[in-house]
Amino acid sequence: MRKWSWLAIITLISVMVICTILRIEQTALFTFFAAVIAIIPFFISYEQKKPKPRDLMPVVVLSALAVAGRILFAALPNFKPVTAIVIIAGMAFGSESGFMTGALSGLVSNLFFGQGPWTPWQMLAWGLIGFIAGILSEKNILAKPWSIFLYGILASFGFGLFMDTWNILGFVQPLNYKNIISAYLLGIPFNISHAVSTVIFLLPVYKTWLCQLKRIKLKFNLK
Amino acid sequence: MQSLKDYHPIASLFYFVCVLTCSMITRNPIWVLLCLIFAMIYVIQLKGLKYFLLQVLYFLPMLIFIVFMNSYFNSLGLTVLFYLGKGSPVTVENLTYGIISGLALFTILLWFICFNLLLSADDILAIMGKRLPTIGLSLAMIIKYIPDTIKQGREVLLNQKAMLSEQQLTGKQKVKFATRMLTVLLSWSMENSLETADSMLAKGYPAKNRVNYSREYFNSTDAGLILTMVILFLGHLICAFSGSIKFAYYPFLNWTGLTTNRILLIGSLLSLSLILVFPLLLDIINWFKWQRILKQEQIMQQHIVDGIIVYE
Repeated sequence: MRKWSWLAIITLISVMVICTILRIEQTALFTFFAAVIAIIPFFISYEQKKPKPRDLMPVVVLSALAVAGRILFAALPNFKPVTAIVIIAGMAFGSESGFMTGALSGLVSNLFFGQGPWTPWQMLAWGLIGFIAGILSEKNILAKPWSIFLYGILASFGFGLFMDTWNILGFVQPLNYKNIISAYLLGIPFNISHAVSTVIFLLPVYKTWLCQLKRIKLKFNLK
Repeated sequence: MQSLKDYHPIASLFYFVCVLTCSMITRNPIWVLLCLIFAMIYVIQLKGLKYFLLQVLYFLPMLIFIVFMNSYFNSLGLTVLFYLGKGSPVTVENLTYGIISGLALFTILLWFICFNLLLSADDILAIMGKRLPTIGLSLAMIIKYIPDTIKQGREVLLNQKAMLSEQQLTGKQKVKFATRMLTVLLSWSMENSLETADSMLAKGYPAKNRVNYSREYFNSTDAGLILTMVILFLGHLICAFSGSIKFAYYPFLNWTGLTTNRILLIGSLLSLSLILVFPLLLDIINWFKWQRILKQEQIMQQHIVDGIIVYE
């Protein structure tokens, strides 16, 4: 199923690129639905595993913590703990659980903050952050603390860029490099706030939470 | 007649998919403005004028951003208005395009406001629950655990503070304090949830013939709504992609499709208006029905003497 997931992501990116190059009028429409469709293979593959109630719980609990954190810090613009928690989820429980934690946190937190055209993009962005965190930790790249922080910062910036992309591709035409770069530059203050929040949340918890989650995984024989 | 809110979530969702697609399908100013006006009316009807004006205020920076991005960095368009700093000329064409595409985005946001009001969390769970049972269950549990987690977090915080009594913490100790609190919170929620999972297993979660309670039933009215929307929507798509609504912004504003085929043009306009007016139409019909009932009741009141209905 991982193959399908990659295929979905590649399709999304190619839809974005093709629409931009051909200057299609309906770029906003096509990329929006491509994003919605890109989430589906991940969901179906999770569904097909038919997890036992116990194996659902890590995703549920970590998503609930992430959403609760986002609600508590809602007053500060773009200061969200979700990215940090999703990274930890991906590292502790593997890439699929990481994706589900991110995607479900995005969906549920928007039940509180209001759904919008950003919902599928947020789900996908956070999902992929968790997914990639899982893959990287499988390959032992995130073993050192500094690499986790670096990944956190990169992920926050990647999240911001990913979120801005739809607004730029769909509603600015024709695009040239000046356009794109300045639009992304305008988003940088928000991304810095996001990156700072991610590091601040990772700082106290990454070590203890990872240890704890691994212990719980072993103790309760979770998949 | 029921209003859009009372339809099955799938039917309402389908309506929103249609409307969103219609709003994003073209940048022809007439079409964009038509969608915008109906979205506006619907939001005002649901939430009131004040709320709508607040949304406009929130959206202004975004609108300025889009207009700026569209006009500052490209020199397309023939009718130069003025030069903005060292940038390219601001022309009527790129200004119009910027404003129209900004308004298109605003329309989408307004439709999502309606979406949030009409489709509650329950409805989203109902849509998910049947087709994706595991994910639907996860969603329901996440929603349940959020207040639990916040409540437990407060309790843990109070406990930890009580242990400190009056002691003042230095910076490093504060980090340690936060770490411990979060650790306690995580282990509590993990173990608590695993207990829930075990009891779910004991109560027969993996059984095959589980039925779940659902308040929503998919009936013929819902099917009727979906069918109507499919027909109108396909009609609109065919008419729209026949080229009659093609609008060129550059090099000068030109409705290139205007002269092609009048029938398709009118068909497209008509089908779009029907799709957009649909929820309002339902509400208006309901209002008139309600007025008729009230009137009948008034007439009945005249016949009642001392609690007995008297016909003369």
